[in-house]
Amino acid sequence: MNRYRYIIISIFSCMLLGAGIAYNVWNMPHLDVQAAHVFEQLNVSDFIRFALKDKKAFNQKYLESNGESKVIIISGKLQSVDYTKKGNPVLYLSDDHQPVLIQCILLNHEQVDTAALTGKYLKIKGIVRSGAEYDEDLDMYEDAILEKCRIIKD
Amino acid sequence: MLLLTIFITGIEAFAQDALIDKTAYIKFHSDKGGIYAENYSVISKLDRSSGELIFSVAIQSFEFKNALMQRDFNKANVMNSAEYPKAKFVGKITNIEAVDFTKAGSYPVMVSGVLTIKGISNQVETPGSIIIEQGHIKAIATFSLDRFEYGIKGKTKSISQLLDIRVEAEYE
Repeated sequence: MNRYRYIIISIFSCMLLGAGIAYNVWNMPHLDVQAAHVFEQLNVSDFIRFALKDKKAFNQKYLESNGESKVIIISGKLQSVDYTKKGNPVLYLSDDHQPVLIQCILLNHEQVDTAALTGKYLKIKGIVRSGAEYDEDLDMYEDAILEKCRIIKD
Repeated sequence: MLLLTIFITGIEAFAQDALIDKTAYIKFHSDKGGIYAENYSVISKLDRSSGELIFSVAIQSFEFKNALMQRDFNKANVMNSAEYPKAKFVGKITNIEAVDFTKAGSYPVMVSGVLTIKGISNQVETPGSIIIEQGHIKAIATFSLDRFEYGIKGKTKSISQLLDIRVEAEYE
């Protein structure tokens, strides 16, 4: 009798453990970009130059196969501010020597003091979503995209 | 001097025909499992005179509510986003002459073009709308996409073969 009870308890424990693991995997949180390890810290010019020079090498270096790509800190001059259709601010960082911008979508819905920040050099931490490239159909350069960004205050 | 002015004016008029939205929106939805994902950083171009319409989509910008689904979506056997980071639609509004860009209103249009995902291209045709209001030009289209036509695998038990796609762009 004790033996059967032991087996039933063991099976029940395994099922409970399995369900717990499955629950945790299913409800795993999104990558906390702002708490994540910084892969690299660089300026707009170097980032864009590398993306335009070798698209394949850029993708291999910055994009991960599970979508949780590299988190970087980028520094550059704020050229303009826009908002996504969800209301998140989009900061466009530029460099005088490159024809392309970096589009940094801020993590939180917040008002950006466009007048005070435009033309200023900012440091922004975010996750790389895509590199910059020239697109023949669009007949323009596509900006590099960083998301879940936050301005880093020195 | 007069010729130069006409030339410059001509260039400006040509340039203004091509409108860009760098924060266009795409949502896809699967009836099975109620799965959906949204992307707020799509680039779109609309040429008012020729009707040319282009969407360029960064695959890794699709956000799911569930983190595990988002990871699976990007993986090699589904979207393979590290190797194919962009999807693109290049097409045309075939009845662009039906849209009066100077007059507010909602204009039904037909869109036809080629959609490329994971390097696989297919012809797409869908109805849509151009909405003119308060100086803004909106383009909206909804259509179904057969994911198998683009080699997008994944569990058929939990994700529909046909995905509902909604596209919205707002040009200024």
